[in-house]
Amino acid sequence: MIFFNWHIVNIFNVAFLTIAACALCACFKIPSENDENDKIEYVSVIVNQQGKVFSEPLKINANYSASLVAKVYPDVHKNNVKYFWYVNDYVIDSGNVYNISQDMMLSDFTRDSFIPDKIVVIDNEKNELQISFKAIVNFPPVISKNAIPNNGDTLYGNQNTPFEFSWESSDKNDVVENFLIIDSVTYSVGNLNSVKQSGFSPGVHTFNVIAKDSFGDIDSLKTRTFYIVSSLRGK
Amino acid sequence: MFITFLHKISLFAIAIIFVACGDSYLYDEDKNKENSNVEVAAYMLTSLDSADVKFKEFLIVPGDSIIFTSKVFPFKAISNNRYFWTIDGNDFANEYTFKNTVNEPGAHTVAFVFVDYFGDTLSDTLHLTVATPPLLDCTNFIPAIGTQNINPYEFMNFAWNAYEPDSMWNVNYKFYIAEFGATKHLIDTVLTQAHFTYIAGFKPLKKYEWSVNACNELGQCAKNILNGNFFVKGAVGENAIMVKFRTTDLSNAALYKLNIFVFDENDSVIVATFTNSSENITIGPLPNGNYKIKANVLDYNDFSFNDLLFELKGDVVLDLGEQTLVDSLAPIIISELLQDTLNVLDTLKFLVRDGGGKIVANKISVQLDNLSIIDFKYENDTLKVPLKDKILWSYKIITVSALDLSGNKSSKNFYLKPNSTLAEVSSD
Repeated sequence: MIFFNWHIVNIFNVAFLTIAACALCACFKIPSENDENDKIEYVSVIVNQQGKVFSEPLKINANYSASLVAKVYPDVHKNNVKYFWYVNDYVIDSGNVYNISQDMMLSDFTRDSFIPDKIVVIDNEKNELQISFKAIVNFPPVISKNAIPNNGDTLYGNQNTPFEFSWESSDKNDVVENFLIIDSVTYSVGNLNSVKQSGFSPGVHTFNVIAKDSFGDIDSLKTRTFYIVSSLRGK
Repeated sequence: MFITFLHKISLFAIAIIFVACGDSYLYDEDKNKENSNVEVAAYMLTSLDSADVKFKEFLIVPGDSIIFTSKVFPFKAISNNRYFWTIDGNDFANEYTFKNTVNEPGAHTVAFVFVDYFGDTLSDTLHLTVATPPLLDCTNFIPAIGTQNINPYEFMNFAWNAYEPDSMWNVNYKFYIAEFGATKHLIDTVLTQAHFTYIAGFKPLKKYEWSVNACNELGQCAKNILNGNFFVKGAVGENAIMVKFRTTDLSNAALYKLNIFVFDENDSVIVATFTNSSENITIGPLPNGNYKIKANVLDYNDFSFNDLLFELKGDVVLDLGEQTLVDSLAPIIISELLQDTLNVLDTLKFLVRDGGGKIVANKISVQLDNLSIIDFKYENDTLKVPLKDKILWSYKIITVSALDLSGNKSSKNFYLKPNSTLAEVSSD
């Protein structure tokens, strides 16, 4: 009888131990395929400026402050990783957003000192991802509104009378190429800022100028309308 | 004995086998020499004409065909494994000679590859450049053709549009400015940009021409050349006219001196000047107003010119273009004695004269009873016609014709009076 009872106890012990072992096993962290998928696959950087987002190329208009935003994929990890912004292999800031003030873009020196060229992302398991990037800081060209002719101007002359078209375009850090558009005909006028053109019939005509820099940034006037009234014709 | 016999049989059999196998297993010095001297060459041709020039480098426009040909030395029939052509490393053709075109712009390397009997690879390469000439807008440019009132003392900007279809080649612009009619250019330069600023100023009241030719770095030039012109203004209230006079002289050989008169609204001559025919003349400054221009040719009164009326306003240089003085009068043909009936002489003399230029001898013809006389002489307006038949028993007609330099033709009949009778002639 005693033997029988002891036997029953053993059975319970074995069962208990088995359940405990199973429970322990369930608590162990066993690498699985799902864990691999949970890793950060890549990181990217975008520019956020004046409510607009720019990805490659990372162009920043130096006339306005901007933010560099690091994005990780899968997105679920974005709050579980640490972000470090680098300039020339020195950490200058952390966090997934790096704010760039206008002062940081004033000169080559400030740009080289304060605008990151690399981001490193580290997760809780010390896994590290990094990418290098180049933020293009550019002052876009500017066209002054002081262009001739003014919108609505009336000009007097004939088919051979030259009318002056002039404008002021500038760029703080680049060369500007101007495109003069008269009556939908585009003239690539390079760095010229005035021309005299004739050949206008009496009536309504249009004029515009587009300034473009080597970064592809442009500025333009609003298309202007002017009127030619015929006069002074030699016969 | 039997063994010896078998041994001989064996040797004979072996010898037979060797002979049957030929000598290909042996080192053949001649054959090896032949193969070791194999060379290949590739060329491009514009036609299959054997006299055509062969090119190792060539430039075509997309769509142009060119012949690729190869040579294998000492001859193509030499044992080969295979041969083929590649372009930029890709398969191109499998023939010795073929015609093809390459449409992809750029610099291409074409190779002829020949693998010989021994597996040695021989090749020759060609360099083919495919490029499209630039396009130049000869309609829209700045300043537009005929622009007036250009300030002579200000800089002037020129701009034009060109397009490089391949987006591959640098484009240069040959640019010049010249005073109208002058052979020397104010500026003659090559630009890398499609605009130019001229700062050296112009002469007032003159017409200038400018021109642009666009060529890429390969020397391909735009099909059309841009030709523009403009007029430079004078002081306020000053105008000018430009005009070129020509005559109806079809020979274009003579240079006529012209009198030019400009009359104002009161019919007063305000300008009297000279010029030569076919020369551009600028007359100015002239104030605003209505004018009339008259012209005549010095010493040649046959040329006439209808008065040309014009109005000047707005400080312009008015281009009156080319004006023509017309000779519509035919040459005068008269006999020496001003008579139409002539006596028979050794030499008949006529006056053949034209007021529209000197008549040339080959524009004169003389016929006696419809038979041409060709041994006449014409000098200083005098036509001398020799007569072979000194005795005439009846009237004969001699016709003199002359064509002046403006194409006006005159023809006159004269009558040769008989100086004998038929009986006298018959008795002779």
